[in-house]
Amino acid sequence: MKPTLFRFLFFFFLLVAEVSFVSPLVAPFSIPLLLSSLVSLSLVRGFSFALPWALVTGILFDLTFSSQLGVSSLEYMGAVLLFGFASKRIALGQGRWKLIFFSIAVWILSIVFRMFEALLPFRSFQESIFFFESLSAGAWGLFAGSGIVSLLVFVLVFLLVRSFERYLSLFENMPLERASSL
Amino acid sequence: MKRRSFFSSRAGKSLLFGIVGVTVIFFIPSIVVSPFRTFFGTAALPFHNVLSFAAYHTRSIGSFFTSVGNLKQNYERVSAENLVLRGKNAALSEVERENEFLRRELGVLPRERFRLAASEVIAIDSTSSGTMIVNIGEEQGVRKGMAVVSGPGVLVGRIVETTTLSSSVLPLSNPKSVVNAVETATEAKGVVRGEYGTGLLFDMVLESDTVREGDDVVSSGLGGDIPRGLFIGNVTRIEPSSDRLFQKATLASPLRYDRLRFVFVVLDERR
Repeated sequence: MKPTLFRFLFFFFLLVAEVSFVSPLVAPFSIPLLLSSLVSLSLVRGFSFALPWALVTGILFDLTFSSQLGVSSLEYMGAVLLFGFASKRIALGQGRWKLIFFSIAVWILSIVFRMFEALLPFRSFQESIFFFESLSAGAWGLFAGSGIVSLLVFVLVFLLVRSFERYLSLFENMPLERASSL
Repeated sequence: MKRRSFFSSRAGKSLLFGIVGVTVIFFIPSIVVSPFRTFFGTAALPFHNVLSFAAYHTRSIGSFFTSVGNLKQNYERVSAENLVLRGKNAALSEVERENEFLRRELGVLPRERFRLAASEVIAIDSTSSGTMIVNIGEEQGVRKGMAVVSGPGVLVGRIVETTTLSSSVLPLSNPKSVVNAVETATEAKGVVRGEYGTGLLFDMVLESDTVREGDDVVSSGLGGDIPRGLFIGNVTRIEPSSDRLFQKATLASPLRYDRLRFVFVVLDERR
């Protein structure tokens, strides 16, 4: 129970930190702090462990911003699944290269999620067309700019999540298997 | 040996749990979600307040150091702008005197136009919608659809959701945001929509209407709670739409929506 509560508080504080501290600080760039942490959890513990946390964290995010409940959960769960499978399949030699590869992948995924939200079925087709029309040079510039910061943040978040999970594994009978390979 | 199916494994069970969970959540009606939203919003409010306070102060310290190099350039620009504004001010003083005279003659009292509620932005969803959370809600009289302004009548967006102590603001820069607008000089009507990135688009303006670069665009007050006359931006570029029935123009907003800290909710318009 204790590790579960700690993990819940960890994701709750990450959520608050992302929307109330990081976002105003680095605006207009966006840093996917929660996405990075869930992907890190998936890499460290495996996707079956990270999936329920993706669901819970997504619900908390949607409750905060009054958006359609479940959209963020769906995105996070998709990311966790994708990275969970990918980490088994992809062999990139040294751990640091894997980390850089995954950090770039997280950044690309955060852009894909923006597009996914614009193309959700409960919004009109006309609006989806408008989204692609209005992806101005400024928007692409912002996406690119966010990339550099996102890469650094992912590496930091991964190290944080790995240390945190190592600490929590002392309370649980569940050793970390993948963390050592990264 | 009997082979176990995927869904009886731990990974399969997690996946099944996730799929069922999301499906159920998608179909929960908003009336059921609302109390949870209020509870979670209220519980998280102190943390949002503390961290947003820390973020704004950290940012202001950072901007101080980065702005030192630009001080000379800014001083020259501000001096030039000051000269222009002094000229305009002199002209407006004349208009003000004329306005006072007309009010006296007609027996109309001067008045504050709006009843405003001040608030602070405590959270921003910068990863997708740009939605902002402000620290006032239903308890302070905020309702869904109300206009949100910054400073002297510059439109920021509208309230899309309220809880007891906080509210969500959809900024004009979000592509979901649509506001009826009018160009002040030529009375050309259209809608202002958000553009991904940072811009605003003055769209659906009839091809027969005149739109000029540099002109002001304000809210028209049609079809909604947003009052007429709130400043939105200046026209920077005009282009015809592909169907040749309407024209659209890019607007330059005086605000950076993602950099706002204090905003005002228009509770009502004094009549």
